[in-house]
Amino acid sequence: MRQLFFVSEAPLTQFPQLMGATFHVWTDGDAHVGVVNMDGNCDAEQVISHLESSGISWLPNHLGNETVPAHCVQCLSKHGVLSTDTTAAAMLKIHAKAGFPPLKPKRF
Amino acid sequence: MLDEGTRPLQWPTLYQNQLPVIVKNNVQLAQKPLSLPPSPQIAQTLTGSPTGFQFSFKQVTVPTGQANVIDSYRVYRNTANVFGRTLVHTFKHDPTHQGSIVFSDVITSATGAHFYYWVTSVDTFGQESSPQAAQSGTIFGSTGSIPPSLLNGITYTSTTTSITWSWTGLIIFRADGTTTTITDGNRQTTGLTASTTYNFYPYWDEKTQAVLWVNGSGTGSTGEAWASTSNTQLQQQGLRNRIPMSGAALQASTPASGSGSGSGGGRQRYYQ
Repeated sequence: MRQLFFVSEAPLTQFPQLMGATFHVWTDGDAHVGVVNMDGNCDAEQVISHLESSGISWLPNHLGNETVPAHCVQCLSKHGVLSTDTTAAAMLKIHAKAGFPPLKPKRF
Repeated sequence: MLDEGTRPLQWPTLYQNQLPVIVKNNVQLAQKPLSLPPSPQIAQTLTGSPTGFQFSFKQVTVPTGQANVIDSYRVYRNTANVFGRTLVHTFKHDPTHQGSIVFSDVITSATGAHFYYWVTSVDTFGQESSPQAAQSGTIFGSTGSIPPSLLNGITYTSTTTSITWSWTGLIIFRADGTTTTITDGNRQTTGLTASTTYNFYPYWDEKTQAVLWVNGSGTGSTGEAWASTSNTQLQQQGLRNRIPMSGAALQASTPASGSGSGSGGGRQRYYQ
């Protein structure tokens, strides 16, 4: 299973029904932080296309070293996310605040 | 010259010098048994199969002193639990047959209707035993066998102590080409622990025509939230006359603060 994290300022009113994709979203009332769990049948490109077409920002692969995009940092700054944070670091901070199990980055 | 329908009897050589005795082939000469043949005993009571119903019965062994000679067995079917005279199959009695005789009925119109069966034995005089019911109660039939279709539109919202599942626009696409539309609904489980992921096992129940959830020793107000995944629950979800609404457990989580939401795992094979 792969994780794809995303951030949205607007609430997700409807979850897309994509094969092998499970969505989990947490909100504190302001930012909406979510993750798509994608199994082996899921087309990640399809998920990304859907997120982009819905105006939702997706974060870089949390297993890499890329930092969180600036506009997402701004959205998540109240939770202690910095511009130097990778996706994994940022999501660990969000998870610590939210206590929402799906948001915890998996190690593999 | 012998008449048609007559035959000479072969006598022992001791009486060879006597005239041949002619016996007419008239069944009236044999005495009709006074009692009806015994009813067959059910070996395996009626069960549903993916394509209909099935039961088995034991061939009759006529008790000593009873003159019936078993010729065949008749299987009757009715849509009510009242013996009806709709003959659906006849089995020839076969003393060489080992074990029970299995009767499988294919019901092609998969409507989920109930069917009831009886079996009788018939002797060579055409006398028929009293009917033996194959079922001990109402057995539910399959509706369209296992439906290979897709799931859509099942989502959840969560608070720190509750999870509410909602489903809209679900349609079961069945293997026989028929569909079943599921009424929109929701199901809330309260009394949960914050910051925890729970597993749920929803299914479409053919008997009650409703969305139900595997419950028992699960947690929360409904007993339907399971802290860990379980093959037992998964099996319960897929029992006969249940159409699983997920390929595996549906997972939903409670937050420590704020609120959560999510979708139930994308499409599955059975619904759309």
